Amino acid sequence: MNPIPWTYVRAELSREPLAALGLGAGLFGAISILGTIWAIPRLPEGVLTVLSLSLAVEGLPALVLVNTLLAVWFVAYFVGAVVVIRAIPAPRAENGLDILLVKPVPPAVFVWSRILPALGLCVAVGLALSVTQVVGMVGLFDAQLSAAGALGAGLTAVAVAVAQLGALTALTARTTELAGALGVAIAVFMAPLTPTSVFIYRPDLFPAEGVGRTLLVAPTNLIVHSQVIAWAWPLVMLAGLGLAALGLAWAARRVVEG
Amino acid sequence: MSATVSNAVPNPLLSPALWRLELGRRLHERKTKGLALLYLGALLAAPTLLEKPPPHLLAAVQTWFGGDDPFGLFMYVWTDLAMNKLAVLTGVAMGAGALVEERADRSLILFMTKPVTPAGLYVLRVGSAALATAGLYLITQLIGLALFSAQIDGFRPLGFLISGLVHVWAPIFATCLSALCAVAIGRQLGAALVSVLVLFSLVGGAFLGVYNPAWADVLAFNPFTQSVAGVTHLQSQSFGTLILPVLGLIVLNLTLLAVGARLARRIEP
Repeated sequence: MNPIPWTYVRAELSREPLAALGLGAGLFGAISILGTIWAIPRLPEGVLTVLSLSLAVEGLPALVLVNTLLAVWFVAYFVGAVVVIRAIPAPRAENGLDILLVKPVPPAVFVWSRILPALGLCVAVGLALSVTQVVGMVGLFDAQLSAAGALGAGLTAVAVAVAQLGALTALTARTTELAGALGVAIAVFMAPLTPTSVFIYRPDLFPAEGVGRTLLVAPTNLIVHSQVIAWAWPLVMLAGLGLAALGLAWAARRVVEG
Repeated sequence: MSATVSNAVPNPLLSPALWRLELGRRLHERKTKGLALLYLGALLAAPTLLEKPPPHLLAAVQTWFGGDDPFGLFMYVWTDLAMNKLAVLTGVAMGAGALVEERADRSLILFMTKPVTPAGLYVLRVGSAALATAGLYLITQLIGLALFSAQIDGFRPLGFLISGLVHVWAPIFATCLSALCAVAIGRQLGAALVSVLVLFSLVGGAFLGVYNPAWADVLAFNPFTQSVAGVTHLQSQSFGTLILPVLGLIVLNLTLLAVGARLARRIEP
């Protein structure tokens, strides 16, 4: 086993302007979240009823949270996805990856040191936005939905985003076009939301009641189970990191075409 | 002595053959085929998705768009869930590479040795992208017209067609805006990301003024709100209600194209 080339790893880790990316994405996310918290309670009663029935969540706090959770998830995922795409598919599209891969650096070290900043950025931005959402909703929480539940739901969405970034890394490890990588990034984000759009229009296809009814309907499921998630989110985060590690291991096997 | 040799080269942008070749190249690209598959998926999924709409949704759509038939719900879902989202994806895929893609694959330097200016090349690339976008959209609408006439009860072909002719300007807007972002930002990935964020924010608010009429005037600036005029005026579709949104969108797209062409010279080959 070769020793890990730490000088190289350090150079890779500081390659991207992470602070600027995080600040930009965080600002955009915070404005969207606070705007949502302002706007949702001001919608007419009828619209709120339809939203509530369509997404199977009850009460104003849950209705606000179902929307802000999407913003947390979206921004945390895409800010990480930019770093993932710039790490492997972009240099491959510009024919610049070969020269990187001929260095005496094991593929696993190459993939990890390029993707770890993406995962870290996703978690940092996601954490900041989860806190923003809880702070913005102070005064809205009730017996059904606590601040701890909302924070846990936000961080669970971030854990899913981390796992999705691992999948994105593996799926784009051999992509040769930037547009293709972007398409995969959008598809990976949309995949867990597909059951939600089916649920809105065809609730009859889901079980009539019980845990199974909204289990696949994200992010409603996070709110329905927020009392469990309030303490279980660290486990979900560990699982998300584990899945991401699997994705990175797979990517390391695919990145060198032999 | 009187013979003067003209060395003026005719403007290649005026050649129909060039546009034909350019459009042909567009249609053979992998992303065009990928988009075509997505449009096909929307055509096939729509009838299943709308087979048994929940009563609360049906009632809501009828209060928003009037009428007591389920056609309003069909038009709302088809336009907002399917075509609005596809408009964003099409626009980013078709537009966000304008000139920066050519720079990345080193072909821009070759183009710049030909009798064409950066602005001209931009108009050619974005023009063909807009044509391909409109083609994908309108072919989908025509297939939908035949398919849905047979599958959807109470389907109104004329209302569907007219709404599509207004809404086709939404994907064209997404294409022109993404291309403008590409030459303004100068990087393909950055442009694609900014376009996705801006366009998805605008698309999310397309019907906000219908949900809450108190906000309608403030939100009228949104090009996507204008582009769904055929749905919001479903019961009163007429030349009068639809001509202003269409004209506004055409002027907006031409403006975006002109600004982009002006910025195109900043892209260094």
